[in-house]
Amino acid sequence: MIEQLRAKAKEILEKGDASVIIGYGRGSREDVATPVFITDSARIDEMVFNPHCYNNLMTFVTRDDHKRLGTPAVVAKECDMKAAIVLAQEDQVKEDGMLLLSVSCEEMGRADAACRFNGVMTIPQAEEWLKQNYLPAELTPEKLARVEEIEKMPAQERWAFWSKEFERCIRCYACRQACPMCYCRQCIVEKNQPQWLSTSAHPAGNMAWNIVRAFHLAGRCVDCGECERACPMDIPLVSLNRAIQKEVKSAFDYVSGYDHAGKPVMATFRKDDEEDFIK
Amino acid sequence: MARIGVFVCHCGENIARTVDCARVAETAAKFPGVAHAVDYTYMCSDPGQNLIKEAIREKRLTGVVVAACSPRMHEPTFRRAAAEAGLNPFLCEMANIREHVSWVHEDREVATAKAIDHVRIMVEKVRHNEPLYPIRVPITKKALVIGGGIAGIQAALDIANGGQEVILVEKEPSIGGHMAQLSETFPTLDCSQCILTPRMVEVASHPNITLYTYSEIEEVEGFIGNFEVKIRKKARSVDLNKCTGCGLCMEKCPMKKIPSEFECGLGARTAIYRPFPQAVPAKPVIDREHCLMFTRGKCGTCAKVCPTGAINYEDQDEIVTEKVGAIVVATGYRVMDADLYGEYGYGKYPDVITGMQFERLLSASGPTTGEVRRPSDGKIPKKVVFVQCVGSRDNARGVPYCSKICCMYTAKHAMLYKHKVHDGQAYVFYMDIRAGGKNYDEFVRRAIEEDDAMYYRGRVSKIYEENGKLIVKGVDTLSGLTIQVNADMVVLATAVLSQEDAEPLAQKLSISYDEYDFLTEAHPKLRPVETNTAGIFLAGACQAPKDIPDTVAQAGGAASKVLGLFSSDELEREPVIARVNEETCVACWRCYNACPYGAIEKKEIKDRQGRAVRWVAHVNESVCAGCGLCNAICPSNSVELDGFDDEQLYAEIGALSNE
Repeated sequence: MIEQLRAKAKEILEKGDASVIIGYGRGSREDVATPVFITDSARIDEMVFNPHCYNNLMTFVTRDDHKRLGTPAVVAKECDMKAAIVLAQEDQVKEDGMLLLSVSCEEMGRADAACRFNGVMTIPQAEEWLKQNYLPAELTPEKLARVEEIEKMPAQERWAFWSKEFERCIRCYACRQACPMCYCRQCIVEKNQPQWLSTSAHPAGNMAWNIVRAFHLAGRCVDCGECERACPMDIPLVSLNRAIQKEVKSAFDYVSGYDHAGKPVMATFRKDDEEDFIK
Repeated sequence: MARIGVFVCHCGENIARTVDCARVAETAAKFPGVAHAVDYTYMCSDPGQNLIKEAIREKRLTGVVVAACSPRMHEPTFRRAAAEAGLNPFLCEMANIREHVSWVHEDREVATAKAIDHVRIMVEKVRHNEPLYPIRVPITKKALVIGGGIAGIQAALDIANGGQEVILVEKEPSIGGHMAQLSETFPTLDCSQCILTPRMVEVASHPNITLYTYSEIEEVEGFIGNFEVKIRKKARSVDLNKCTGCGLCMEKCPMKKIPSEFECGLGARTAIYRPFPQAVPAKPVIDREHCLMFTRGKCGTCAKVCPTGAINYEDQDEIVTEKVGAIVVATGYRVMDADLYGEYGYGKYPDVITGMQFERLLSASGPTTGEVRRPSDGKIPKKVVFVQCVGSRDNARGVPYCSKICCMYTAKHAMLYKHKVHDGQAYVFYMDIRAGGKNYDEFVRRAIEEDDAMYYRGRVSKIYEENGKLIVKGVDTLSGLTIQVNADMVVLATAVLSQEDAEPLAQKLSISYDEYDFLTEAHPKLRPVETNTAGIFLAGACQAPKDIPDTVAQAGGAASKVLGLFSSDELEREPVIARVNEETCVACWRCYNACPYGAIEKKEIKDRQGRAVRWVAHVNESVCAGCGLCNAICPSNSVELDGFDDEQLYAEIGALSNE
């Protein structure tokens, strides 16, 4: 599988379809992979793909220093492809501004899991592919099991639960850095005139930060789980994200990452909305 | 160093009854930055405003807080006063201690404490306020009038006669509206058509009026002085330029039995038709639902007989875009479906009809050429029962409001009936007789005293047919007797409702409407023809049930507001608009998508060599309405709203929490 991927990546670079391959390379340990940025096809063998290639590489495509490398071809798992689609929807990448080297893994983290290369895709092609192959796997009962457990708690208990989780937050913002959707030039938490969100790691500011982070993902989160994986304090951020995904699905029948040409669901309204709050 | 003046208003007793205004002023005097604090009975009065002006001058105030009523009421008043004393008006703010405090609390201690909090908040805001300067925008001196009934006709004529251009849009094939359907009008009994049709002709021939009939409003964008309106000209299938209105097509059309809307179903029309002979324009339209060319693809008779070749079956809807500076909404009303009241037998018995149908029976141009003949057998009815309040003032099944016109037109009906059928007897069942208006009560008395109408104060419980008679069972609550009338015909005075498309239209225009979809005026007493959206005015029954005199008066009022607006070349706009921080904007376009006014533009940032570097959002300040949606939706807080910026709001919240 990796030979196929490398061959395709090499071909793309040599033909000039992209000027940089953003992929995974060998990490410092066996169970770690690290992002690589390859502009010279001679380095193509640095590329690997295995069940430890967690990172969502779409975080890099919006960054100025990586934009300078030119049109990217990015190794992308399903969630990463969705991230590319949302980025296109939000005009952060152009529909034809990148190629996706679509890969799948039977189960991330399981050392013997089988990996697959699905081919080179543009963003619109990726969207079609996902609709066929990945949409049924969204918000399944298994994925929502933990959310529903938490939702069953009475409001006070739920508040106490999250307060306790967020108490541990050390405000390292690893969740934000790992998230492909957090591409603002200045995060709201860094705006200090006035300082809406307290930056020190105390319970009130932590609660505010974590809620703001989750709210800003409403209708955008691609459920890649990078925030939770990046969190050094093991805060269950995915449950919070999924609770919002569930709300968005039930309120607007919308799953993010399947409509690169559409409008962001939280930024639009219809005058004929059946809910009367809008009138 | 801030030197803020605090002015606490008693609003007579309105505030002072619940709030210790003197204590509010005393406490406020000690707030940081406050240089002056007083209370006064009527701050909005001339001496009250002088208190503010003098203090600004003498104490060199840098900001003003007026603790009084809602800013909706008097913010312009106090800002004007501040400006007259040389202070930038946007350094003057109001703390609403009436609607938000005294009117909603009883406990004096609690209310006073809350009033003090409100003042503290606004003092902190004013400390962070910046002077703002009005934005000047040009005015397009052309008005749009929506609806070609008497309200729209009057408004259009008044504006046009005032020397300004008007576009009149009517959704039906002819202007005239409901008034064209009426027989004679109360309280003077002049013939409705005789007073209306000359005005219709005047509209059509007025050099300042552009008439779009059979057209509807598709989309409205923009703001006062600068609206852009898309009008859908529905496919008429008749070329208005070629058609001479000779009527040959209507004569020859084989589809002759379509119930006429204008005759309320009492008469028939053809598939190519004009609603009534005096229609303006007097040119027909093809009703595609019934025309054989459209239903079966063959016929073509009208095209064959038309001497000028005006028939065009291929005609398509056309969208025209017009720029206007003001809009008058005059879309009128409809009447309630009488079959909601099954016990009255409407729809079941042909001789139970509505008031509007009776108008057509009375009309000289109607299906019976003005003779009162009942629909079932064409006989002249000798006993006619009129039932008022069918749907009106009925919380259970109808609407709770009074439809206002029914008492008068029912008296008129009884009177005209008697004038036409001398040996006939009219019976009227009423709840109350509401005849407030010049010569109105006299008119009703005449119906009763001179034309012998029998008035029963009570409701009708049931109407059924027996031996060719309509048995009307009712009660006379004044005598306590039950009444039975064996009638030949029954006329129901059905409730006046808002137009079916009032709500979508209001949404297109961004104007408010009440729970019955009547359009809402800006203030029920002092701004009765304005809407809450600047530049949009109301005329006629789209706002509430209204008779012709009131409608015409309101239409004239709306026209004068439009002419007032058009009297200057530029408009001053409040400078409360959004501003984008281009440093931090990442061009995610959430604001662009969310803005209901289309005020956000995509702007390219260029470097010194003129190369495009990146995109950012940009606010078009003449379009921005300052609603703040972009401000709220921006994830990185890169949009600020002037006059309500983050620093100011933060200061307000801080003032409340760091007491």
